[in-house]
Amino acid sequence: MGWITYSVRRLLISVFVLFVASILIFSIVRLIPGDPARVFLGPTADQEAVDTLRVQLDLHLPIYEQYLNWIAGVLTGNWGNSLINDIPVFDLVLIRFPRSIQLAIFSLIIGVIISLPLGLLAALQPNSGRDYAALFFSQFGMSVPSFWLGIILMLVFGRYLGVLPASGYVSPMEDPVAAVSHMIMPAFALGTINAAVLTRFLRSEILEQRGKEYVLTARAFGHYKGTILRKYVLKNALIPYMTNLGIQFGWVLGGVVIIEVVFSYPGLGRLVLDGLLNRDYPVIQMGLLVLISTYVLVNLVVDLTYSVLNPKIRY
Amino acid sequence: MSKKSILEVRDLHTQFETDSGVVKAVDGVSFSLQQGEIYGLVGESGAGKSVTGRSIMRLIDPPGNITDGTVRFNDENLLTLPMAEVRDIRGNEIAMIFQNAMAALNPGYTIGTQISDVLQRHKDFNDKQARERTIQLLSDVGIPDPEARFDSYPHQLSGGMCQRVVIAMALSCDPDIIIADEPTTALDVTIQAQILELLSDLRDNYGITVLLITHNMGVVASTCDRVGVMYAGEVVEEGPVQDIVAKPRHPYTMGLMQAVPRLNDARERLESIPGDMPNLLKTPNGCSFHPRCPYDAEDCRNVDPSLDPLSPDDRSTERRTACLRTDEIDFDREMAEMATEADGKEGSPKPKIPNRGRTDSDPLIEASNLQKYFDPESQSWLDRLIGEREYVHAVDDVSLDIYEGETLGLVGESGCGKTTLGRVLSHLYEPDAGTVVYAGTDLTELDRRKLKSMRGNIQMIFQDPVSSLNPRKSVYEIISRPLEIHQNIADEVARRERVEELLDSVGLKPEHASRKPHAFSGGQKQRIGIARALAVEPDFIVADEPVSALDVSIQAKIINLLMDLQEEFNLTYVFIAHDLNVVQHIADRIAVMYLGEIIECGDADDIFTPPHHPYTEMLLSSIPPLDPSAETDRIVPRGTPPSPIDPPSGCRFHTRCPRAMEECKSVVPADHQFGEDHTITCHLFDDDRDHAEINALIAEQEAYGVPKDQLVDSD
Repeated sequence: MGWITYSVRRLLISVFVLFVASILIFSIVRLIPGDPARVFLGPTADQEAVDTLRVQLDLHLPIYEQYLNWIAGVLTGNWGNSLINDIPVFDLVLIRFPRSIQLAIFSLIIGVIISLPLGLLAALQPNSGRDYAALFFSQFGMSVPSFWLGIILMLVFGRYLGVLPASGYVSPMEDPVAAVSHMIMPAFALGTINAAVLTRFLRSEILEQRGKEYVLTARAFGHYKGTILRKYVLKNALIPYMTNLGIQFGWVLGGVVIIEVVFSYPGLGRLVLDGLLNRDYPVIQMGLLVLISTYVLVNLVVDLTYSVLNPKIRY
Repeated sequence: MSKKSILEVRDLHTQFETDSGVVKAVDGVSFSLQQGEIYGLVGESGAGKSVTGRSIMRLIDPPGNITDGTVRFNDENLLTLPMAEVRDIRGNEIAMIFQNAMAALNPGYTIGTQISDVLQRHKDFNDKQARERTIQLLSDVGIPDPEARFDSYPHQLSGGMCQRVVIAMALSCDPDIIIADEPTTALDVTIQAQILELLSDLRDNYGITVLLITHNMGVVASTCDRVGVMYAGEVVEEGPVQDIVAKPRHPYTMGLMQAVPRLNDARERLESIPGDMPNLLKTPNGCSFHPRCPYDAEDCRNVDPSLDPLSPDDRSTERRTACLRTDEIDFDREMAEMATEADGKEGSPKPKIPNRGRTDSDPLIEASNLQKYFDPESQSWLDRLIGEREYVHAVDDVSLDIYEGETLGLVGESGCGKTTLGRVLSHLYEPDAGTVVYAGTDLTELDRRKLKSMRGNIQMIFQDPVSSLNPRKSVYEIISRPLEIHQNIADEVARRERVEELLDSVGLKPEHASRKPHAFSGGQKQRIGIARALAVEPDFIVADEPVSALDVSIQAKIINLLMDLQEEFNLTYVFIAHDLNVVQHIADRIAVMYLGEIIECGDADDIFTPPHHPYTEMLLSSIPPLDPSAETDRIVPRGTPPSPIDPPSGCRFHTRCPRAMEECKSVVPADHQFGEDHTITCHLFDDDRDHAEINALIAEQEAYGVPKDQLVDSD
């Protein structure tokens, strides 16, 4: 079986996962006790307004028709309008989503920039001073909640030192420097956990690879230390590191919701949260679906990359 | 007879500093390699053979340390050379190959790239030259279609193929010496024979000197020119291989030789060396072997014997031994006693050994048409859903009778389904089809409760004593657990008594009961596993490779124990093993398996003397003979077993069979009764083929010999 067959199969699995997810998301709204339209409009609204909203939300149709209509809308870009301000959800997500992705990627880059050298330094001399320093950082980073770290960063750099803006968002198209300075604190607050997890992971992967028999064989055949590190240790250690990076991306997507609130960052996370507070069902549904789709897509890409890097995975 | 010495190891000491003290893994080893010979370094695990090999290459990592000695190669001491120069020698002038070839290759690169990398590291080759040379090397070591194989990844090749690739890598820079550390231990006998053949060819064709490190006396005897026997970090005896094997001059070497089960030996107790290899943290004073030596004297406990040449009047000056009493002990008589026993069997028509089990009664176990298929690992749930289902044909239509009190040996290459069959017989696996009737009860039809009560009668002993014992439980808890489950001995005192009784019957002491498994040696752990199996007083025990993880001297003791227990408790065994010598020694009847089918079954004597089925013959000739002078007309086995997912049509063995005929490719052979209780599944024994014809056929095959190109694996 070649790579193409494997990819097609892997893709089918992703589609299946998305289908199940869509049913769950769809059910959330329908499972709220009582009539969603009544819940949104409040007990004082008159029956006519409720009925209008029910039609607008398709609630008068049988449940399977509601789902089919919704899915058809999702696929054609007709995502409904926000109940609060009547703006198309599609337009809202289109503005907010890239901002969140931007933040997530930035956090991940910070995670990689910290973990790659730190994990390598730690693993090259296990049980040395620098190894312990790296492990301490790793332990610290995993224990600190990101919102707390975010608040502390905000206080120190935003309020007391005043070197970074404490909240808000600037598009990199308008002012790249301001954009980065707005993003750096939330990204750091998020990326610290990733850096911590990835550092420890890379360290143990490298140590494991160094103990492998093929590394011993490479030494017995006189390869240079640099060659062994590059072609034998790192090549094989970075494959699982890549996979882990994909998993981390999923975590970052989850963390984005909280950190966006802390830093008043107008991304998809805040959109979903505001939607939840306002019972703005079309926004909740689509926001969640977009987040989950991103997660599934990232995992698909990771798995496909993994199968290129590691010839063994292909079947 | 003084050949040029190419590598000289003098007084080598390598130590490991551990929390509990200094382990002297290599403690003053000296030997030299002569140009173009295969020198065997043999000994049991922990003797320091591998550490010696690695010390020569300076591949000792902390906490290990080479503390003393010289390794002289090309007038230079490798142990004091700068590391950069050692790296230039590694792989270039001295190459090393390891036990597990699959793990020795980088999974992330193709085998071609890996060999080319070595070439380009040491030689001034461009990419194209390196590729050409690599393909040449792959073809030299007998890899079919080397051009295509260049781009294969290690996991796409079989274990035997990977070992060939590593050997090609070792050859790449025309080294003077190859150090081979247990190169065949992880391989089947049939593949082992092919690799040993290859190593001998390299010596003959390229004049390469080989240092062969192994624990297998048969490998040494059939391959090496000279041998050094190691014990507890020292070389205790050295000399030409035929002398070491036939005329040992050290009690340890003699003990080793006597402990090895041989084909055609009497089915009686094996000689074994008492005790275990000493703990290298604290080697005994004087001769390190004295606590286990039957000739132990006062001097031996105080004076550490040096490795000295035998007295000058002995015919060979190449012989050296480290025994104080070597002149006093009559080694030859001891060995001669063994030899006459064996000769008596081979020369005169062998007295038929009565089968212990076979009575006229009904069989204890009647298995009919058993089938067990597995899903291949590579198959995802999606494949199964879509319907492209494939199966591993682990056990395919196997019928078998086992009689009370007998031992049935089950042999075959790895992957032939012998372990699965053992587990189906003991009902650890439910068969997909067929029935297992145990003492008149059909196990496959029992409900769970009745099955549970039956389980007490059937027990298993596993291959790996380490992983089959729970490391967190004490020996008492391990052995008493089945007592709780099956026998309901609620009384704590009675249970403790029973455990002590069991420990005693497997040769352990009552005080061992409170210890955890890690405090025991490999042989002792296997004894615990046996005691656990015996706890519920079973009638039937399936022993799955119970001795293959053990050293020779320990193996002999466990085999003896199993045979004693059988007599004492009237047990019925199914003994699964890949080592034909061992099976032949313990079994009354033998069933030979190939790709999920039993292809031959009969009394042990009928199966091997002489072999009938071509596969049995191939297995048998794969065993390295213990007598180096024996020029046997060995059939060099061909190829590797095909995949059990898609077994060959007709006779499953036809792809590797040296006697394959046209009809074997398409027609499934029937079972033929051949003499009393001897079944053979082979077209050679079809009724319409008279025996004269068969004999003529066999003679013709033998005269023709096996063509050289059939040495090659065909997977």
